[in-house]
Amino acid sequence: MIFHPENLPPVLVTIHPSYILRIRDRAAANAERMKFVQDLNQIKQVLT
Amino acid sequence: MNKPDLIEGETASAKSLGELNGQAQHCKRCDLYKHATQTVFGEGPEQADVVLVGEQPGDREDVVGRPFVGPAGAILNASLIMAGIDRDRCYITNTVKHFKSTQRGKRRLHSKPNAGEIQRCSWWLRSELKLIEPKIIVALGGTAAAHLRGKTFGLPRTAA
Repeated sequence: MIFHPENLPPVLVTIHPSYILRIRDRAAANAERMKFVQDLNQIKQVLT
Repeated sequence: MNKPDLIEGETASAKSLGELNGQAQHCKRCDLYKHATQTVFGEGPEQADVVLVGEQPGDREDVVGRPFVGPAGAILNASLIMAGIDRDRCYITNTVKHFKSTQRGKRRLHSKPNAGEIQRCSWWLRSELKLIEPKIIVALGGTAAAHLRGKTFGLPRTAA
């Protein structure tokens, strides 16, 4: 999710990667990791 | 909380990130420096378009003196690669620049920074952002997100 706070560049909000480390279930951890990568993918929208 | 630290837009006078980093190494704006090994300042090019903001350095970062070099950093690196983003072109920093921990036997466990520590340290983050003027900020986790979206954070209009 991208927010537009006053007097700041856009802020893309995602999880902290340590969150993935704390997930015990491997499939769940992988799913969160994929979501994290999808979030990071949004960075490129702003750069172009 | 100390009022003057909350003045919106107040930033350091440093002219470069190197100078700012040098100032931050001696930071005693809150008590966290007392138990941390060193200040872990942000890292990356001053021309970066992307600034990634975490919570605070962990055990490994505290020892090495660089942000995101521990297990969470490994996940971040791999994920950035998968997203096609070059970490070396990003500036990576934390909301709070000192490791906060509680001792459990031989291990130092991460302990969340409180609101006062975050507010006092935000002076450095604001100063980093003012010098870099990125196109986008990435808040990694709730601490960074809440702080960056909060009313007390923000750069002076002249820097925006």
